[in-house]
Amino acid sequence: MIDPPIPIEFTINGRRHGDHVPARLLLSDFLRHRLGLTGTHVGCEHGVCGACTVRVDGRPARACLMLAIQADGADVQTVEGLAAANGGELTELQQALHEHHGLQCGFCTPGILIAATDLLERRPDPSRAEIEQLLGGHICRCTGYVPIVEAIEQAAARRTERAR
Amino acid sequence: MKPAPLAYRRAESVEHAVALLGEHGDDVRVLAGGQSLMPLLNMRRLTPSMLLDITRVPGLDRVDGPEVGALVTQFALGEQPGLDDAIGECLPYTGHYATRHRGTIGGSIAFGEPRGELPLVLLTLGGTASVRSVGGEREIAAEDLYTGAYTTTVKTDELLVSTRWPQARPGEGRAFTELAQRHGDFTLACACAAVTVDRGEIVEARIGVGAVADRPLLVDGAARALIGTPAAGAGAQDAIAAAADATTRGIDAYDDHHASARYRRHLAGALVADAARRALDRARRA
Repeated sequence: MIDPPIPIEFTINGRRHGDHVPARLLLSDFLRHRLGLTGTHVGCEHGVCGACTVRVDGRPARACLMLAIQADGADVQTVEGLAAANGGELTELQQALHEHHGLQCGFCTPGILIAATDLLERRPDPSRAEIEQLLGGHICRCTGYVPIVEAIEQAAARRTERAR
Repeated sequence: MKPAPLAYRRAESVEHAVALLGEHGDDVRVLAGGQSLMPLLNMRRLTPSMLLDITRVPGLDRVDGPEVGALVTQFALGEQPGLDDAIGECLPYTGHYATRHRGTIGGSIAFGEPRGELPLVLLTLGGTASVRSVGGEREIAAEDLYTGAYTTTVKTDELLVSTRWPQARPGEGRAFTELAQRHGDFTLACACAAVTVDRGEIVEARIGVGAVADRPLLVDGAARALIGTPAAGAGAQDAIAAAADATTRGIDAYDDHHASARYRRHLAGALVADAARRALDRARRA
């Protein structure tokens, strides 16, 4: 009745990876326990806190609401892949969060970085309301959110300036 | 927590999916975006013996006028040009930014979350769902779809393949609104209104409220309060107030740790007034 481990192959932060996974293994657990990519944080494990948000085929996804087997053939990006894809340097958004003290304990940060990176790619000049709505899906208990909003606004402004 | 052990099948086509449902139906859950299903699997509130992953079935991710394929994501529908006002207003409340990129329209309708925004809008707009089994395809009116919380008239061997959202006719205006404690959280109450104006008079109205019962509800009393009244001025104001009152009096609602039944009834009335007012404004300009 229960299926044995199933072979999967996918790209993780630009690297190909093959593995065998039981059907019920969550992508979040696979990333952390098999691949050691512990930047993907697990908070609530039911999609509410947003800490485990990664990108799958260029779209944000809660890693705790996906089975690892569903990533078969996909291109997965975790928080570790942000600076890696930027020549090892912090991205503008990461730098802005640092400058604005947009994190304290850092638990929520990976999910916010991934979601906000995605938002800025789709909406280069997001409104404050759009940023606040985005953060509605990410629970932060340290900052009070204001510095995070400011950091995202600054990253958007710097991008727009650079594009000019 | 983690899902209990289960078998996993990936459907290659609609035919493949319905064949598997026909064979294993009773103990299978269909996995689309997973944004409502996966939490229940993680919490082991659901322990199906098999998950049928339909996310790679080709052809179900298209929008064709009023017809929305089951796998169209909430985010993708929100990006459609010329989107209906009520749908456009409800989507930003449907989960969060990240979950909307995976959550599907078909999944939202088939899951039957009583606090769900999309089921309420489909009901209020008089929409339908198309379901397919090995035996063929049939259409279910939104009014006949929900039998209670998380339960629908879709049979275990049937797959929801698309939904139909009737477009507004000339003179028709629509609006949606809700209140949640945090944007994107489960709503305390939501309301949807569709109002048609002809020669300065409201000739047709459909008013729906969500999150006050085990399924979305049409409030006939509220619609009756609007029909036959002037589309503007003091007469319209009075009719909207009467529709709100009919809503508050016409529903039972329930208590939970977020809100009392009394507050929910009050809220539903206030939201109906807001949605009806904006739908009417749009109808006068439509």
